[in-house]
Amino acid sequence: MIKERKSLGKIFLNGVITENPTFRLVLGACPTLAVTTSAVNGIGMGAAATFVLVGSNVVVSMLRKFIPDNVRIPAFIVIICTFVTMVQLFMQAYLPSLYESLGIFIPLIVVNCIILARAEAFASKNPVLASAVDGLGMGVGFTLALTLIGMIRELIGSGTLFGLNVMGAGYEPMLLFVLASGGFLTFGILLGVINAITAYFQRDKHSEGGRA
Amino acid sequence: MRVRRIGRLPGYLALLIITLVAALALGATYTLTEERIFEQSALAAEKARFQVMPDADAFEKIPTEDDQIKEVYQALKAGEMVGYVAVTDVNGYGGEIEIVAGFTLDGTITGISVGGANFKETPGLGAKAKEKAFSDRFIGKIAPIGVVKAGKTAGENDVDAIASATITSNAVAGGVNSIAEYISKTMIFEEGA
Repeated sequence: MIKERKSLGKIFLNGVITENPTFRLVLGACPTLAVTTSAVNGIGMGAAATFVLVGSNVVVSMLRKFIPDNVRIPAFIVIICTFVTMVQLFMQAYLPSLYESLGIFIPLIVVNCIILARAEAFASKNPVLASAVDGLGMGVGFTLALTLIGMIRELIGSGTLFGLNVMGAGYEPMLLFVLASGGFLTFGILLGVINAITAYFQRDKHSEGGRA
Repeated sequence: MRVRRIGRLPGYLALLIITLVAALALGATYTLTEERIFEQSALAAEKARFQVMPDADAFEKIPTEDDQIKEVYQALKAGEMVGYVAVTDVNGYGGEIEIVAGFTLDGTITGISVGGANFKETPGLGAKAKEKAFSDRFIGKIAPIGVVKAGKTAGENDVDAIASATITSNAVAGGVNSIAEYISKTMIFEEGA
């Protein structure tokens, strides 16, 4: 059942690059579009999701022989909810300003499909350490993607980067980019660029062909 | 193969155990963070009061007789009353907005703070109401405050609206005005001082 053991480094990079949740799997697009109005929001959301991913992957992996198949989805959801609520409470207690700016999207991490997808596709079939690394890799990939989108939208839409004014006083911010439509535009263009790059490299290395 | 044997638990029992453990974990987390969350919100509220009334060194809560006005404080400086700070909620574009506003005894606005736990104005537009650039426009003015579109000529007590966020701007000004009205009705602003 368990495939040959991949090296942990490879599992980690799989989440960051090969199967980057945002740009390659295109999972969790809803929070991606919603919170990436600034770079800081992107990092905050990414970090919260990473914590939940690692936590739920570890617990699901630990319980993978205990949870009967027919109730596995509700069991995974309960585990994920628990971690999300913990993140929410701790963030409210220790990072109130971030908590305020992410708002409703913190509890909505529960329905972020990356997390359930990794529980189902990876953690329920793999040992604990590998699952933790998979969660970390996916989380880092998600965080990097969100931060990148956030930086672009913040730069064009508000003229700032991580809250610092970088475009100078004469710059008229293009508000569209911090609105939902700007999120779709940025996301779409980035997806296109990344697909083009991937296609270019895959054509270069014939041996790599056939890999998703 | 002990693990294998528990693996044959019926689904409902496994789920029951998982939810029980989850509930325990959440209860523990809540107990751990409860006090700190309470402190944080008290701290944030206090910070907002000092922000809108930088001159004061203490605030004394006084009872409010209006449902709309959530809290009223006398602002004290070295024991002397220097003004009032009050808190109210208004409906913005995306939901409730909490407004804290400070007034000197002659009714001049010393500062306002916009936000609250339910603040959901559009990022990049209405959400700019939280920024200093907007709240500073109120300082030194006397209610009732009017809102004019940016670029239009403004009267003495008008503020420029946030571009493309007229509803939010109006809501904030409305909140400030209703606080001013309440204070002038129940307390005494020194006439013509």
